[in-house]
Amino acid sequence: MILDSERFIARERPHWRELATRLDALDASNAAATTPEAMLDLHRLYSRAASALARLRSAAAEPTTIAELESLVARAYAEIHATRRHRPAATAWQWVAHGFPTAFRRHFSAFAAVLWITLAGAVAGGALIAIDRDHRQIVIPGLFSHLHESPSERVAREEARDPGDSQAAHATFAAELMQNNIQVTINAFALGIIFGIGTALILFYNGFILGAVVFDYIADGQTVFLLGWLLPHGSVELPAIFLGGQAGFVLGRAMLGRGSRLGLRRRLRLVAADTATLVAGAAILLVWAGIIESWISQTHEPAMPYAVKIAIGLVHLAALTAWLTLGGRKKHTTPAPHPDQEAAP
Amino acid sequence: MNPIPEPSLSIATPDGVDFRLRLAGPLVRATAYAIDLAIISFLTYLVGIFAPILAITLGADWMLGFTILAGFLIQTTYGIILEGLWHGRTVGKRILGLRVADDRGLRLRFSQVVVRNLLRVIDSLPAFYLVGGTTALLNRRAQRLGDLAAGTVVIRTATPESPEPPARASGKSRHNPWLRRPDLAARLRHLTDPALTQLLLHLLQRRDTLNPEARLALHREFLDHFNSLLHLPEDSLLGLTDEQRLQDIAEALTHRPTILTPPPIG
Repeated sequence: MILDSERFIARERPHWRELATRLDALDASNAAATTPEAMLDLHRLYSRAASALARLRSAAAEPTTIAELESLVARAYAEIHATRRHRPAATAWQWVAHGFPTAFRRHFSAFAAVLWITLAGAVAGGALIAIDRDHRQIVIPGLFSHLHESPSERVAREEARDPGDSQAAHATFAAELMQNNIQVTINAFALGIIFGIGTALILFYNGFILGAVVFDYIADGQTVFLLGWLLPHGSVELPAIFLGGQAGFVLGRAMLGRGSRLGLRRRLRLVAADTATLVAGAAILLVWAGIIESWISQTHEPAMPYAVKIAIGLVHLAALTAWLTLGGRKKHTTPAPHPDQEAAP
Repeated sequence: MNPIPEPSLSIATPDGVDFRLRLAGPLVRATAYAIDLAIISFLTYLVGIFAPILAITLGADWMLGFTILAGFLIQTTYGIILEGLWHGRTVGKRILGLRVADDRGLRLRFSQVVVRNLLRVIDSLPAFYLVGGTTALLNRRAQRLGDLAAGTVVIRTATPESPEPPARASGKSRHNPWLRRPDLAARLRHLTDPALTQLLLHLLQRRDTLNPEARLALHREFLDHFNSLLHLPEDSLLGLTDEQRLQDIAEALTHRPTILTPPPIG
């Protein structure tokens, strides 16, 4: 069939304009096509534009119009096949109550690997301090220079401090903590792209420092101070960094693809939403951890009893564990999809 | 004269529709990012300017804490927030007609935006986006690592539309000889790359900003190219300047009537 392209384009162009107008309106309102009739109309216009594209292509003419039409058809295709959009508040609640905890559980093996690597680092750090307590000067980075003095000296200094002084610079300290910890978490995730190796190194190093400090304080008889100092914020901060590491290992495992029949792009696509969820959850937890560390963890006896601080830490830990292990279980009893199963678009 | 063909990603949908996404190259992406970086720097500067107000009301501690946190949040979330709200576009991408898109042609999901932006940490290593740039150059879809992990591509959204139709140098209405030969006009459209049509429209549109010698030389060069593709019988073009001939060609290429305006003075 010979196509009179000029007449054909003149006849079809009003329909393309209408499609473009509807797509612009959807983009601007950021809402789903409101009624079934509107959706049907959109689909009709899309089908018509797609058909016109095929006809123009077969005529091997009109490259400018074809390019214009391709862009329009691509937009319409994305819109029509989009998953349903929710109200922001409903989406946020769904994410908190279901999305985040189920993403955590779906990749629990990666979280277990995080724990093991951190533990290995902690044992190595503790062992180095056990050999010679003065190694703390070398092991603990300058950022934590207040940990270079002996634990007993620090405890004596902290407990003798005027409670009025401890009000100084809380906000600055909290902001620095949030910035540093969120950046570490992002790094732990992003470095997963090199097959999880970068993530493992970050976690081992963190564990190494933690192990060195913990062993140093326990060996010096300051276990209660240590718990009162670390538990209130550490019960949130450490799991949050672990979640970043978990996301990094999920990414690394998708890169490796061991045991999967899927191609690299498909594997990465399948884990993208879960990794984003884990890192976003970790970042939110770290904001809370920064506040707690600055205002509670750094306040010691006699201003705040260690028992209270330890109790705060335990409550945090219990609440976080309950959230991650129980969240989303009641309403969604269907088993989590196997990683090799493609999600419907 | 033929522009370099643009790389594209072909999408074949389950309902039998094929279309292409025109991929953006590393250079235009770097330019868009430079614009975004300038905006990030400016916003961070603004935070520094307004933070002292907090010092007056809440004290120096809060001011410093706010400055640290706001600067960090601007840098980390600028791309995430804008690409999430504006369907894959930041300010830089908007200016240059680019957009982040799903590499299967589906709607871009927020999680994809988060992943591709968080992985900038790696793409920017060791400096000047060397890792990301190298990956994009070695990749048929021009994807940096963040795009690869998120399943996204950066595409050109500027449709081959639209500069305003060129104004005729002559104030008198006249017939376009190409329009009397629709067969040849169709053949011309078939032979002409859309990017070249854009170049021609821009040339005609910007006539007043070019010095006369450069303009005449460019007109001749364009016309030689179009003549090498196809030309009308000379008798139908008698008395027309190179610019008028190009205006007629532009009209034939775009299906749009030209605007008849008085000739510019001088």
